[in-house]
Amino acid sequence: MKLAEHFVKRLVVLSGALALVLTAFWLPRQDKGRRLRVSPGLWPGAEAIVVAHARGMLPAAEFQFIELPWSSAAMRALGNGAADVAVVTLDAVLRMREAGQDLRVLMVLDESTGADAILAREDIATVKALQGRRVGVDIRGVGAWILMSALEGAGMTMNDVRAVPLTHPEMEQAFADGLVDAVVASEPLAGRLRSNGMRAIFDSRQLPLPVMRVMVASQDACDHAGGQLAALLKAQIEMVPVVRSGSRFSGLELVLRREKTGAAAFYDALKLWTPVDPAANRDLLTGDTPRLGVMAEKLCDQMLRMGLLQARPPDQEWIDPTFLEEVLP
Amino acid sequence: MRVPQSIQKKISGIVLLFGCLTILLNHARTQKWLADQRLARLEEEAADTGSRLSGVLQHLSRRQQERAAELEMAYASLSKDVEIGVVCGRDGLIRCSTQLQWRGLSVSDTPLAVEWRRALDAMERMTTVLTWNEDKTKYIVAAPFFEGYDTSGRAVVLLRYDPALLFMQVRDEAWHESVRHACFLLALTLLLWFALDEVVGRRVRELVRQVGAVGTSGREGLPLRGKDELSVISREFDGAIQRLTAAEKLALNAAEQERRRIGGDLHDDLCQRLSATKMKTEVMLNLAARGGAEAAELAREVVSELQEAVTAARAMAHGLSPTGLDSLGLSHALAKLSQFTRTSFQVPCAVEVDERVEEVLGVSERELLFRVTQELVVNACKHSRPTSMSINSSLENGDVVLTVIHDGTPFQEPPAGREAGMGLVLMRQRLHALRATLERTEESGFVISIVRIRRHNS
Repeated sequence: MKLAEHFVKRLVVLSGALALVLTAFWLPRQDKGRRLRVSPGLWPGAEAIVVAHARGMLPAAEFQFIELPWSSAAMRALGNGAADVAVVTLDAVLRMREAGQDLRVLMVLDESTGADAILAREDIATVKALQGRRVGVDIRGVGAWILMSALEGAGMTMNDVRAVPLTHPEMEQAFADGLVDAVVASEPLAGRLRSNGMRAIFDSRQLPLPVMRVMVASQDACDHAGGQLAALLKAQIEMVPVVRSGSRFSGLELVLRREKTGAAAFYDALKLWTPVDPAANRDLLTGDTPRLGVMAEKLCDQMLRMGLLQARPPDQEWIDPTFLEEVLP
Repeated sequence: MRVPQSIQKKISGIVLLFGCLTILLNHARTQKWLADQRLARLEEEAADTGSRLSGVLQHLSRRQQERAAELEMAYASLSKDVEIGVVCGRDGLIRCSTQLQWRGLSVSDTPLAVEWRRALDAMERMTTVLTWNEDKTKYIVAAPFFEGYDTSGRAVVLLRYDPALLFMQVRDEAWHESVRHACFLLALTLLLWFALDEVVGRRVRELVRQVGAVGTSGREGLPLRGKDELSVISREFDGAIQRLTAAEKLALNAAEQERRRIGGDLHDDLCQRLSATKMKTEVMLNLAARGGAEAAELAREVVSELQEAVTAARAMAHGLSPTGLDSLGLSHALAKLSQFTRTSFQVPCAVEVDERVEEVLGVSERELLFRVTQELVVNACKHSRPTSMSINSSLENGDVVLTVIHDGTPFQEPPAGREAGMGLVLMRQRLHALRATLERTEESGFVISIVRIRRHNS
């Protein structure tokens, strides 16, 4: 009995020492100084979180906003780990998943109802008329899918036009310089181009599938910054009604400087994005077969057919409504 | 606060205490070292970024590539320490910024209003200014460049770095390192405690047992094995005990011989003389009876007193030297003792001695055992008021066992603080010299004292 006690005592001491050594080797590091890096992009639907940041709802000590003016740059930032959260279109999510990025869609922000359009010189009235013309398009963004869908609807292919790769900020100048006959652009750039004499010959309402902007986060951010992600979604939900109120609000000036537009044009542009409210989000993101997943499958089929995707993205979880559920009443 | 008593705990505690102090000092040193290193890196990065941006933006502005300039500033915002960055001309109008919300504004309407004078100074001298603000909480970079091909067209890249996040990370890293060190220290302290327990504590406990057994007439145990200091102490102690035991035995033997000699003298000389005197007195009594009644009476009294003196002297002689113990053996001496209890205390006492006991015990051991038995028996007769008694001696598993049983009251140990009587002290010494134990017990109304002399080390 005494021998057993003696043995147990020594075993406990040695086990304790071993446990402490192992703890010392594998002590988890709490990265308290880490901020959530958010790349909201430059489009009216993202201004709600920018205003929330400016108002201090998303404090600078916890959130770092990275200003990447076009979506392909935001995609790259998310892919190479420079950003933790980005706002991108659903087709971009498929591209990133195809590239093997481990990301999660947290929320659908809105649906484009005319905000993405093909704009052409005044003498080009239809998609058919683009035959042989120079079309400026962000070939790594949603513009490529919009253009190909429009051409497909008109019985044409990309071979029927001369695609000019352009980023969004370059389009205005390219059109002014006469380098392109048409561009695929989003609001509020599309509004400025219209006022410069271009006309919309096709927009997102004519697409077989809607263009949706979603908030995506890296898996790492989901694992380590759950609280910050929930705060981000909460700020977005709270600020959307403020930004869309149609009246002046604190922070409007900075929004207009960002978007390089006036208040009236900004509100007009906003009307072309239909916000997806929390209830509709729950409907899109939850359930045994989330509706967003079904839409992504259809979009994936189209993009594979058009050659915008080389292979179907790996079959793994990519929708995470957890953080949205946290902030919903 | 209770201070640990054992050396093992004291050493472990001291190591832990010094370790904690070292960790605390090291924590402060690490934190300062990390902060210095990170700040140096931040200053280096700020200088590089300012220099790179001014070069690139000069090129882009000459080519009027505003979008590319915006993109350059956007990428500058990827640095976690850049709080704000703007590009503006001498008019203070912001051309592009790390945050799009500032573009088009005057720099005096932005958080960089205070730093604007440094930017003007940098543009004036066309040298990059790298400096901390007045309260050393922000690092400022003002890197000037020429907007066009004319030297009058000047602009500046103004960046403000905030090291708050850096300091937070430094604190976190230093704390993390200190916790890791503390875990290592605790583990080492536990291992040290374990090693001390194995190497020192356990052996010291054995040594203490060895020392403690000396005073209780129990078995002292073997000396510690090994060549360390504790083993040396243990062996030396064991040797000293053996020498002391031998010396004690010698002293007891000497005392016993002296008693025997005095007893012999009493018996052979004084008792004989008294007997002769008594006989002469009896003769004188017969003569006096014929002569006068008074003289006869006086002579009778003298005879009676002489008889008592002879009896007392014989008893004393027997007590000092049990006659025949060496020649007639222990059984004879115990029989005499039994006779003594019957005559002196009117207590009948049965004696039974295994013959083999006589064979295994030497003369001095028999004498010591007899004295112990004598003390037990006489004590019982004096204090326990028994009506009967028995003495048995036998061999059990090679050990000599002597049992004294009586029906009197149990033995009472002297009260605490009061010294035992001379008889008890001598008995303990004899037991110790015999390497024997004494056990007292009661059973079915009988008081039993068992003396066990171990003859081997089983």
